[in-house]
Amino acid sequence: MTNRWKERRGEMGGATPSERYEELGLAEALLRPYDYPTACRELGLILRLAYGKLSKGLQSIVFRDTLSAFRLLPQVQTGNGISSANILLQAAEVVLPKQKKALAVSEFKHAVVAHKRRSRAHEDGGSMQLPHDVLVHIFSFLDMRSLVTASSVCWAWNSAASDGTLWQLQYSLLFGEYDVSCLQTGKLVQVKDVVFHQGIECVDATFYAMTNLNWKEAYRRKYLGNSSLRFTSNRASCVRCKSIIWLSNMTCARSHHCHKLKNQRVKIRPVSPNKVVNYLLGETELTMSSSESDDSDTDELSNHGQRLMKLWAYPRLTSTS
Amino acid sequence: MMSLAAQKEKKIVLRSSDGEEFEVEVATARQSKMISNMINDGCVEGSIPLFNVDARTLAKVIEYCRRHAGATRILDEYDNPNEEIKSWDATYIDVHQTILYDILQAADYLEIKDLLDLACEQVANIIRGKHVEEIRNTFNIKNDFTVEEEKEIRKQHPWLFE
Repeated sequence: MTNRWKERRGEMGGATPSERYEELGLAEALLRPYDYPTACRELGLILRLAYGKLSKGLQSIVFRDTLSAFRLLPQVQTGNGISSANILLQAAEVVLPKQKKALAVSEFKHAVVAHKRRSRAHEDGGSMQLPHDVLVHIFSFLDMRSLVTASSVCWAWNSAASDGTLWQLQYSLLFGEYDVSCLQTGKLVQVKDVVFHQGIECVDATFYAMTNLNWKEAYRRKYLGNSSLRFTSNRASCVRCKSIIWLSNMTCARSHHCHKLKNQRVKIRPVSPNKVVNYLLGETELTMSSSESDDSDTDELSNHGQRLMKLWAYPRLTSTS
Repeated sequence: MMSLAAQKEKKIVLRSSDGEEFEVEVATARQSKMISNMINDGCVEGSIPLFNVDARTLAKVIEYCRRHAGATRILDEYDNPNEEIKSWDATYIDVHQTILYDILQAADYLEIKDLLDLACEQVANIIRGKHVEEIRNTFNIKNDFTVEEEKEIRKQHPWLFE
């Protein structure tokens, strides 16, 4: 077991804090308005918890990114953006030495003025009346949290955002493709997703329930039942390759490319900002907790394997005959 | 079947909803599945009227098709388009919201899958990270839920609003 951890640790991207910092992709994330808040908060936490432990060179990179975070604030037209920048400012005021602090504060003040000016020049968007299938297509590029938000905008969006295919994809992204709880019957049944793709008609009541599985409901229950899966930010770690990724870069339509196992689907777990800092410092609890969950999943899989085979036999026969 | 050289020579005329005509190369026009089907069926004599696309949008769409028809698409190891195209796409789609919708609807109508993906993703990027009210403001969407309905929807997603 320890060997395995060591092995995994070795695979975990950068060897030095600088490399790992690079890998976190904070500078690029600040450019994406939707990732801006998370990046700001992580940067703030890095300042508070890790700044003193970093090398001079890395300190100056972190400082550079802090300044650029303030500079980019006007582009982020959300309330969340402003409050995140505020959190970053507070961290900067506590941690940074005098001269750098003064620079950061003045940069922040300029940014807030520019931000206000920009929000006053309100963009006239024109109303968006799009057909249902186009909305579903758009929503396939959303991450789960944004998808849920979209569903509470209006009725048209609500109906598009409840589309089963979207939630099925979200489900398999988060819980892995072999792990499907059949909630209607209350039994845990594991299914290969081929079943759904081929649209096999099943006579068996259990299978009938599965093909009609309400994916959104399934997702919700599983998600609520598993507190370790709560995504509080846009960050996640890939269970297989152990790298920390941006959840927003991984949607139904475009998934994370795990360099380790190309043919398998990705499995992801949430990462708290504190764990991101730990990762940067090379204190990787992250690896341990996620490898545990990985193990339990495999056990589950083999336990149910036998039952699975039995259940499989029937519809396969009907489909070929 | 005509020869490749002849195909290169041949141009197709597209007419926008407001009557403007655009002459495009066959390869460019074939980026649209709808027009490609029409070419295959041999019904492209004269000009093709596109009732749902105005001149401004059509010009923009043709710009995209021309770029993508011309580029030999080198895919990377994960089947993603190469960096050069990607950055061209990013600049191309960075337009005002109203133009973005027009492009999106034209791409849907003309069945240009890559362009539709690009436009949809761009709209998704605007949606992401915003609160419900911010989304409504950005897209000028009227809240058509009653107070009770909105409460009910929030109740369905306690994990979102916690």
